[in-house]
Amino acid sequence: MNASIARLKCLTGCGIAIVIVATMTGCQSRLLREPGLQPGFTQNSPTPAVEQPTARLTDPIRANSPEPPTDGIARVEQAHGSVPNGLSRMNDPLVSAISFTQNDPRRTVSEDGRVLSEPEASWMTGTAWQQHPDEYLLSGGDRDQPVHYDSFFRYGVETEDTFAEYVDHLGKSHALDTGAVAIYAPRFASVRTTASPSGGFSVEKLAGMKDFRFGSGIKRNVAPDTYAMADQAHGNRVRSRASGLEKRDWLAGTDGAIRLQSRTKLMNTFMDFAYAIRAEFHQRDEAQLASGIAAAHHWTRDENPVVVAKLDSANEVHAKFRLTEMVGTEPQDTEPGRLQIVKLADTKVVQPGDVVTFAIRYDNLGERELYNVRVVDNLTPRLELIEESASSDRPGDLLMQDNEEGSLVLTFQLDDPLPGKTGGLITFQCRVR
Amino acid sequence: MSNRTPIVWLIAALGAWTAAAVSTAEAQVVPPYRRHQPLDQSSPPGTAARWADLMGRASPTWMQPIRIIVDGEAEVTIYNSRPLRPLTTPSPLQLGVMVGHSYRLRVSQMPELPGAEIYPTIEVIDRLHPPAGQKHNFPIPVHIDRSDIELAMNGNLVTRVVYLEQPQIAAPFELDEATRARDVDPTTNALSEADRYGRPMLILRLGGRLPNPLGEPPAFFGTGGPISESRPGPRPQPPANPNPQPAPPGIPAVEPNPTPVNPTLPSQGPSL
Repeated sequence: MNASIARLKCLTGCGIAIVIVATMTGCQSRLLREPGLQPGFTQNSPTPAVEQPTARLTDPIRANSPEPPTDGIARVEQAHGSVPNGLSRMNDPLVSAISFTQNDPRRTVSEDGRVLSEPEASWMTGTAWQQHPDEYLLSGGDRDQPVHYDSFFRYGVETEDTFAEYVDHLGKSHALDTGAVAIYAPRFASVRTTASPSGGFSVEKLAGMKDFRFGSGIKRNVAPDTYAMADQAHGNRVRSRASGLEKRDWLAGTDGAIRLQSRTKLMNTFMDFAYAIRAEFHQRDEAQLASGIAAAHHWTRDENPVVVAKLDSANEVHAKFRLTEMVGTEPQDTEPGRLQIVKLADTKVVQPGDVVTFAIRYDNLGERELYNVRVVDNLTPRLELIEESASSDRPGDLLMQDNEEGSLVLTFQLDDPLPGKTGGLITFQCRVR
Repeated sequence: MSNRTPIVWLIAALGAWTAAAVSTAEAQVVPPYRRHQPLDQSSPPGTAARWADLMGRASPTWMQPIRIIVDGEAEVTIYNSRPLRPLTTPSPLQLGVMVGHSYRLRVSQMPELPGAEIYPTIEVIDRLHPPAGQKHNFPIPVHIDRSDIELAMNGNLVTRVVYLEQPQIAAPFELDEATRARDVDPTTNALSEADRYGRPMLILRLGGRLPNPLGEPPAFFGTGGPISESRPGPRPQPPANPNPQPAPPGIPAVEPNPTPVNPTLPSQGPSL
């Protein structure tokens, strides 16, 4: 009986354990079947529906192929990172095991394969040219060291820099750079090296060769033309002590003679009779006067000074200024001039040899005039200015200078001040090298 | 000549110097190379590509277009995978390859060199990031010049490291056959030199080695990377109006037909 009860308890315990294990396994299997937890998908993905007409899973190899879609409808082509409708294949373990990486962002494609809208830049990764600037031809902005000035020179003008200089109505100078224009124009070159297996050694250093760096018979004499010493060395003594040695250096042969140019003889106190001549004395003369009085005891009566005292009192002056006339100009417009400048290009993609038209648009957003407006553009080495292509809707001159890098620095100088609430346009063309 | 002539010349020279001084531009120089480049052209073929793959440059979803251009008429064959399925087309050949793989080519049918064949290799180590829809318009050019072929047929090993130029230090002229390759000494690290002037994209090797008629191991024909079709697509046309920027509020639009400005040569200096 006891053996039967024990066997029953054992079976019951095993049954409970099996139920617990089966329950845990079922939960885990449900977790695995949850589409939101599959690798490569998000939890917000819609529930897969087999009956739903699904879009094809884009072939990753041909993701960027310009082949036109077959349905002829402008639509948003889905990137590979998200698979919204291809969920019917999620049950495929192969597809579920593949974790796709992001390729191109979504873009709108027309029925003939043209891209209608470019992908928006991500605030996390920046624009494409910021991530890979070596593939783009940049023009505009202020690269690297900012443009700055000292009293005469201007510094920090690197290639690609485009900026405007102007003076406001207060005479203060300003510099303002344009935005950068990014044109996709990669160019390739190569480094070539040739090795011959028959000559499997190379002589890198000649044996027995000496490098003489000192020439013979070269003598350099440095002699000052003029020796001027402003300090008087007379009586100057220098004492240096090093390691217990004492050394005295005397300047030999230097002698400074002091010659008085003028001499002022100060009279002694008893000889100052100015107060006696003026017949008046001030308070600061009291000491001298006392000394004089003390000395006067030995004087004769005829020589006794007559003491006269005088008190000076301050007067108070009251004045009233009455406004009679004011000369000035009252400005009619109060908002100071403020320049806005932007640089544009007519294309985003070029090949070597293509022509790009640049437009620099500037506007005075304020009401006052701006003076000495100049637009400076330091072309990048791969841009070659096409002659006589520069134009402006405002009168001015174009100054071209070599930028020492194979291209030019263009300076557009406007002849007239730029009035308020007006603008202008400068255009020029460059050939991409 | 009047007495005022030297003074006028002095003022003119001072004015020209002033104009040059005020608009001083910063001269750009190629910075010295301070990186450690463990690889060079003598590294075993495929090493740089394998390292690029390990560094995450390769993507299974990106086939980088390349354009193989042989000087003169020629026929180009590319071995794309194992088992061998060669693709043969006349030069130039444009196709998509995968970063991180090596490909074996065969250049043959050259009328000026009858019966000659060379088997170069291409090692793809980096990719481009063009705007959407412009992928096939910007392939990496792989030029095989006649001098390269002649050197290879004479038993030399020619290595070209094709790099993407850094625009700020690019050569200020259009590149042609004579200027698009910079020859360096065999003891110089060509990868470092290419990295100094830009970003290395692929390595082309041409040698005199021919495949054994009795058969070569599969590694001779590359690492098995796939290839894809690549054809240039339509290019965007520039708009007719070069001033797409609208005027700010309250400011009238500028005239659509601007007048040309008067160019002033730097040698003229300011007017006196």
